[in-house]
Order: sequence, then C-alpha cells, then structure tokens
Amino acid sequence: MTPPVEPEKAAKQDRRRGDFFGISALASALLSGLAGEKLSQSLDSGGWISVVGISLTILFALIWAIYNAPIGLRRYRRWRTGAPAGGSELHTAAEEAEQWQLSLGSDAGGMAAAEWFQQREPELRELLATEKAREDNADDFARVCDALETWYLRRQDARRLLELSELLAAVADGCGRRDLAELAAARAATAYRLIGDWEAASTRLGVSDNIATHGRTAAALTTRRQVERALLHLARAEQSPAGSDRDEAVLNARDRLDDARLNRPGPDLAGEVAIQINLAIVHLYQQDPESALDQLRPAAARASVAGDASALAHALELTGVAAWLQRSPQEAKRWWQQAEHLYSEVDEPEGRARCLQHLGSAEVVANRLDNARAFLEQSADLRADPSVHPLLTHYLKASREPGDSPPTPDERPRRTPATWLRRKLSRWWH
Amino acid sequence: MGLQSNGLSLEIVGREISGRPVPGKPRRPAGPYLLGLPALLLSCLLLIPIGVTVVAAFTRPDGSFGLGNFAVMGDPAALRAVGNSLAWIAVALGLVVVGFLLALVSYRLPGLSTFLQPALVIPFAVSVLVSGVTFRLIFDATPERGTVTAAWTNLFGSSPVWLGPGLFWLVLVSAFGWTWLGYVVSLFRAGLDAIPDDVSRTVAAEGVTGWRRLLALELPMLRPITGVVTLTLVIAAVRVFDLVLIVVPGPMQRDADVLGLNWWRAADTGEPAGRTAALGVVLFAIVAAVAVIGVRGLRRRRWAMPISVVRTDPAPRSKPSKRSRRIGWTVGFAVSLFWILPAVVLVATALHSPREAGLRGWWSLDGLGLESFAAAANAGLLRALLSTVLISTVATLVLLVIAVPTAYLVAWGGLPHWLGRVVTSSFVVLAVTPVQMYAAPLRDAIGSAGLAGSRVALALVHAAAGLPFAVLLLRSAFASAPPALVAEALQGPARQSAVLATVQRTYRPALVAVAVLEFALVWNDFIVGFLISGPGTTPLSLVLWGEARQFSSSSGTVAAAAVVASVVPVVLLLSFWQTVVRGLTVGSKP
Repeated sequence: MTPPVEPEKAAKQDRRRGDFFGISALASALLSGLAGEKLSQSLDSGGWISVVGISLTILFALIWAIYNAPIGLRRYRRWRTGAPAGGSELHTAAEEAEQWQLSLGSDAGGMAAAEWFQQREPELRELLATEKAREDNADDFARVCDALETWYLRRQDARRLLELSELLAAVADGCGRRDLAELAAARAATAYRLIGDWEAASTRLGVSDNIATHGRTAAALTTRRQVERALLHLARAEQSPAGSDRDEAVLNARDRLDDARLNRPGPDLAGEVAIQINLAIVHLYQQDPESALDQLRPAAARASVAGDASALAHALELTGVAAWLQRSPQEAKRWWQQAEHLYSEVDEPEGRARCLQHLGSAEVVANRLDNARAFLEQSADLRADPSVHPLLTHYLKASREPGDSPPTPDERPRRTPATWLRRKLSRWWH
Repeated sequence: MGLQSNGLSLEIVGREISGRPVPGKPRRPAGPYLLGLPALLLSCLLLIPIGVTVVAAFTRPDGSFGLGNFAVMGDPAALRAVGNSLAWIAVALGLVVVGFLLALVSYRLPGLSTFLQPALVIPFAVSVLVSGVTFRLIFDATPERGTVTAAWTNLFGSSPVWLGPGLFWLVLVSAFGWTWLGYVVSLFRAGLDAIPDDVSRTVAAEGVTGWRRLLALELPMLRPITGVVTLTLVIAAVRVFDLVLIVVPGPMQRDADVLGLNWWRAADTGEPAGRTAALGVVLFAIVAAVAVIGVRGLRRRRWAMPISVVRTDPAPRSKPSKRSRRIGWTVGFAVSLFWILPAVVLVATALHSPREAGLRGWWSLDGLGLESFAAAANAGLLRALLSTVLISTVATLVLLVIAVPTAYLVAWGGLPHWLGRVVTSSFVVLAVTPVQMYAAPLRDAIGSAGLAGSRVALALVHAAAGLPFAVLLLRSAFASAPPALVAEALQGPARQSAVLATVQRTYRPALVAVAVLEFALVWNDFIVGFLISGPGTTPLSLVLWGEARQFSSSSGTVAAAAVVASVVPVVLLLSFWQTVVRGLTVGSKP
C-alpha cells in the first residue's frame, strides 16, 4: 500500500467509532426516557434513572461531537472558501473534461468545446502520463480518458487513441478494476480498426468479452462491443468488391447491430442513434435506400432532440447518400451541404471533409470540373493526410484532368449494381 | 473502395459509441405482459381447483395435514389400478414402435399411402367412445352378431368369449391402437419426408443400409418427433377412462380398472374427499413425471426439425418403378380395407333397424333401413348435436382468441429467459394434468355458482383444458419464423407486408392445426362433460353413453348415434389432415 492511503483509512475508522458513540447516545436517551417513565408510573421513583440516562446521553453525544468536529470544521472551511470537493489536480481536470465532453459535438457550445480540447489536450495527456494511478483516483483517470477518447475519435486520431487505451489498461491493471480493463480493451479494438489492423481489433474485442463484468455498465459495454464488431464487418465490406464476400460481411454487421439494439441500456440515447446510423449504412450497402431512410429519419429526429449536432450531421450526410442512391442528385447535394454546415458548426473537420468530397465527386460526375476542384481541394485541406484517402485523390485527379473523360452517371433505369461495378472496376484497373 | 452507386464512389464512415459507458439495463417494455393476462385468468379455472385438490389430498379427515390419505394406495383395488395404468403405458410404447415401422414401410413403398393415409385418419377423428362401441360390436360374443366370433366359429368350430375375463384386454388394446395408429404413422411419415435428400443420399453413398442406416440416419433425425409422439401417446394411455367404461362389460370392470376409473368409482361411491383427491394426485404425479422426463429428454437436443417440414411442394424423390408402385397400391388398398373395417361395421349396423341389429350381424341383409337413426333422434340426438356444435364452437373461438396472444408473448414478447422457461414448463405440466385433478372442485364451484348445466361454462372449461397444448404448439410455430424477420418486425420500421406474408406462411398451419384439433377434441370429449357438466348440457357423447348402457338391445341406435356423432370430426380432419400434420411438426415442439 502507498503511504498516503494510511491516514485516510485511519480517519475513516475514527469516524466509524464516532458514529458508534452517536448511536449509543441516541439509544441511551431513548432507553432512559422509556425506563424512567415506566418506573415513575409504577413506583413513583424513576427520577434517578432519568438523571443517569441523561448524563450518559450527554457523555456519548460529547464523545461523538469530538470525533466528528474535525470533519465538520473541514467541511465548514471548504464551504467558506468555496473550493470543490476532492481538490486534486486530476479530479479537477476530470470534472472539467467531462463537462466539455458533454458539449463536444452538441449545438450548444460544440465549437467552444472543440477549442477547449484543442488547447488542453496536450496538458491532459501530460497529466495522465505523470499522475500516479491509485484506487481512489482510478475513476478520475477513467473520466479523463473517456473525454479524450471522444475527442480523438472526432479527430480520427487512432495512434493517440491506442496510447490512451493502453494507459487505461495499465491503470485498470494497477488498481484491479476489471470494468476499466474491459473498457480499455474495447477502446483498443476501435483504435486498431481505425489503424486498419482488423486482426488485432477482433482479438481485443475477444479480450474485452472475456473480462466482461456484471456491473451496472455491463449492458453498455456489450452494446459497445457489438457495435464495434459491426463496424469491423462494415470495414471489411467496404474493402471487398461487391459480391458474396461483401454481402456476407454486411449481413454479419446487421446481426451484430440487432444484438446491440436488444442489449442497449435504456437511457443510452447516443448509443441508439449510433446503432441506427450504422443500420442505415448496412441498408445502403444492400442498395436499399428506402430502408436506410427508415432508420435515418428517427435517428436524425433523436439527435436533434438531444441537441447532438454531430450525430445529426452524420444522419443528414447519409440521408444525402440515400438520396443519391435514389437518383436525386440535387436533393443529395442539398443534404450534404446542410451536413457540411452542421459539421463546421461543431468543428468536425473529418465530417466536413467527407461532405465536401461527396459534393466534389458529384460535381465531377456532372462534369462541372471547376466547382468540383474547389470542393475537393477544400476537402483535401481539411484532411490531415489526404494521401491516405484514395477516393479523394482519385476524384482530385479526375477534376484536374479535363481530357480524361470523367465517369458519367449511369442512366439505366433499374439498378444493376453488379454489372455496373464490373464495368467500373475494369475501367479502374486497365 | 467505398460505396459505389450511380457513377459515384462514396466514402461512408460508421459511428462509434464513445465516452463513458452509460449505466443501466436493457429496457424491456411491460406492455406485452398484458397479452398473457387472459390466459392467466382462463388457466385459473384449472389452477385453483388443482390447488384445492392438492390441499385436500394432504388434509386428513380430522383437518390436520399429513400423508394419511395416501394410505389409499395400499388398497388392493387401487394397486391393481396402478398396475393396469402402467400396462397401458407399455401398450402406448409398443404402439409407437409399430407406428414407426409402418411409417418406414410406407416411406420405402411409395404408393402405399394413397389409400392408407385416409384410412388411418378416420379412426383418429372418431371419439374413443365410438371406437369402443365399434369394437364391442365386432367382438360380440354371439356368432350371429359378432364379426370376429362368427369368423372364428366358421374357421375353428368354436370361439372364445372375446369380451370375457383376460381376453377383453385384446379388445381394449385393438380399439386403442385403432384410434391412435394413424396419428403415429402420419407424424413419423412427415418426419421421414423431411429428412433432407442430400443427407440420405450421402448415407446411401457411404454404403450404410438396413439396420445400420436406421440407427445412423432415421432414428436420430426423428428424435424430436419421436418425443412428441411418445409424449402424446403415453398421456393418452394414462388417461384411458371412457374406453374401459364402454368396452368392458360391467362385471369385469374391476379387473380392467385403471387409476382414472378407480378415482371415479371412489368419488361416486362417496368415499372421503381426501382419499379421492390423493388418488388424483397420484395419477397426476405419474403423468407429470412422464411429461417432464419426455420434455427434458427432448430438450437435450433442440426440438427443431429440419426446416423443410414446411416445404410446400413435395418434390418427388427418385421416381419409383411402376412395379413397386403397383405393389404399393395393392398392399395399401388391402390394408386400408382391413383398417376401415370397424367403420364399415359401424355404418352397416346403423343401417339396420334396431331390432335386426340386436339379433343379427351387420352383414345380414334383413331389416335394412333408417329406423335406427329415427330411434336415435327420438333419444334426443338432435338436441345433443346442437348442444355439441355450440360447445365446440365457443371453446375453439375462446381458445384461439386467448392462445394466440399468449403464444406471441412467450415466443417473441421479450420475456426474460428464466420466465420463458418457467411459463413453458408450467404449460407442459398443465397440458398433461388429468381431468380428475380438477373435476370435483370445479363441478362444485360451477354448481354453487348456479351454472350447472350451462353450456358456456362447459365450453370455457374445455378452452382452459385445451389452452396449454395450443399455446405450446403456437409458440413453436411463432418461434420458428425466420429470426431476421422477427428482429425487423420487432425492432423497427420494416416493410410490414413482407413480414406478415412470411409469418403467415410459417404459422398458418399451426393455427389451423390448433383450431381443428380443439374442435375435434371438444366434439369427441366424454370425460370432461361426464365429470363436470350437470344434466342440462347433454353433449353428444353423454347421449351415446346413456344409450350404450343397454348395449345388447340398443346396438342399432347406439351405432346410428355414433355415426352421426362421427361425421363432423371425420370430415373436418380428413380435409385438413395435411395442414394439421404440418402444423404439428412446425418447430416440432408439443
């Protein structure tokens, strides 16, 4: 045990002993009162009993007061100075980070939150690295980690996220907190998926499954793992050419999302919106924009009720994709513009870049190359490293080379994705 | 690579759940629980009397609690009844084996079932009482009237008294077998047909034939259906009551006593309520033990059949040769003729005048006419017919209205796992509870409520008694709907029409099966009406029973009444048999 724990424990024991005397005081008061009354009724001589009882009560109450005086004094002083409880630097940082995390991505103060995280993130990281993890501050650690996770995910910063999850795993290990270890493993899986190491991601999910607890957050963590699995399947679907592999991956994702939905804890609104958005993506991969819209409409409604501008923007962006699938490019562009605007309001460059890319590529397809170039270059500016986005580079190239005839929209009335894709692929590779 | 569509590749990114895990449990709506409320209320009609009986069984005459009443089991008559009940269980098991072999033969000999199938269904549709009457006619002791006695006398000079001591068992067992064999064969046949072709072809290619094929392929594949069939038959065997009552002549009935009958006699002769209740509890314990063992044995393997039981087009297996088909037809025709013989006897007897039917056998050509039917009509047949139609219709409607939501609740209502298991198990136990467990308190309650002789009250009791089986059957049908569809229907906005179409295709057979079986069961019922209803209700079976008391003098009238009573269930079951079998085997849970 570390030395600072000792006095804390001793103080706790003291307080307990004090409470014992307090209870004794109460008991003796009641007993002596009762006994005195009975005696005075039957014998006319209960006076001495009440004298003894009252003096005992006073004695006990005095002892209790002495035990509790220092605590009361401390509380009183703290109240006078107005300092928050706890007081350690980590605790303060956790409180603050949690507050800002709540407004991150929301329409109330989303921008300010992003600014705060931008400025304070190095500081918080530093704090986590230097502060020593103990049993009593593990929760503060976890809160800071939770806040930073949200921030890193917004920025798609997988490396930092991985470091964070390793740090949290170490804290969990040091303090013997299984729930934190479970969370850390799930977080590491997300990081590995973003890096592109799917094997490691599913291993981490398995690890997280194995140390699953039955605590109050068990349902939330199960949901989270299922969503993460679904995202892994979707990532596989994205990388595989259309065909049975892709269909299977998409169906697997759907199964996981259904499970997630059944296991979702009641009050988790953000989780529900995320599940619906992912389900919509499943339908989009299945070339079924109507079902996707069936998911996206309630998701958008929930997000806007909850004031979650980020999720709303995400839903609107996908609504645009569904509109594009339904062959209404004008409508699609309107949705994307709206989503882009919302993303910029909560300062989510990744989302903005995606929307601008959609808009630019749509312009490429419509053969308005100047517009397209403007959109795509803006998108490239927002991306940290545009070269890792093959679609962006592809369309940028297409917008800069007017001689190379850009891909034209498919005018055939019925959707025949397979044949279309085959044609498209052959054009790409040759 | 992204999502390609309409000339565009779009980058799509999923949404993670991030931040602090939200504490809380999955939300389960409480609304669906209301669906089970009507079933609970209806079941109380059985549960409360069962409770009363159990309490009475453990209450000594002086009012204290104890096991004293179970001393009734030391009574030699009761012991004999227990022995006979166990013998009936053995009979049921033997019948399962015979039925399985027959199904195997009919599977290997295509063409056999063309005639055999309807011939096997008819006895199942006929009530036990009618089948008892028929076999009593066939085995009549006088060579002038009894078919078997006449044939035996012509062949060997003299004939034993078939309805005499010892030999009446033969009559009883053949009547029981005649009734149930069709059910056994049909279900096994459906199971055999559902064995996927590729599996049987693989087994054939491995060179596994004969007994080894049976052990390796057919027995394991049929295990779920075997469980269902065995359970049904064993329960039917333990509940044998009316068959003995009508087949065995009065003086010998003590020898043929079974537990149910012993209970009735004890209750009828005014033995203390505690002793009869103890008998009922013993009967219940035997049946419940059988059911629980059966269900547990079934659960070890999942009760799911290959899904192809539901297939709509019976794709022909390798087309059999003409010769084997012809053999199949011939054999099938001969066997069906033999099997249908009791029904022919019954109809022919009914077509004789009451006097001639009492004197001569069904083959005599004297005295043909419809006088027996007229006599039966005079005995109150028409009133009883109307009464039975009313009771059966009301019972079936009430049952469907209550069982469907309950089954939905159990299958998809999102009950916690343990609660679902508890509900299912209690329905299994309720399904096998013998009437004796609730008859006496229920009759008293109905009487004191002033409802004695009320047909609606009787119909409600029937619905309550049929509820557990119906819920179990419908539950397995609902549960066998494709999970993806269910998830879609339950969890979100899905195209309702598509869901409904698939769901309807999956569970319509089960609904039809429940409705048809309940209607036929109530129509054919004797024991519930006999033990519970007052004198006013007069369902068909009670009229039949009243007439059959003077059997030798009124055989024509009894036969006519039996024919009239059997027409409706026979037509009903013959026309819906395929659907009923499909409904019974969907998901293969009883």
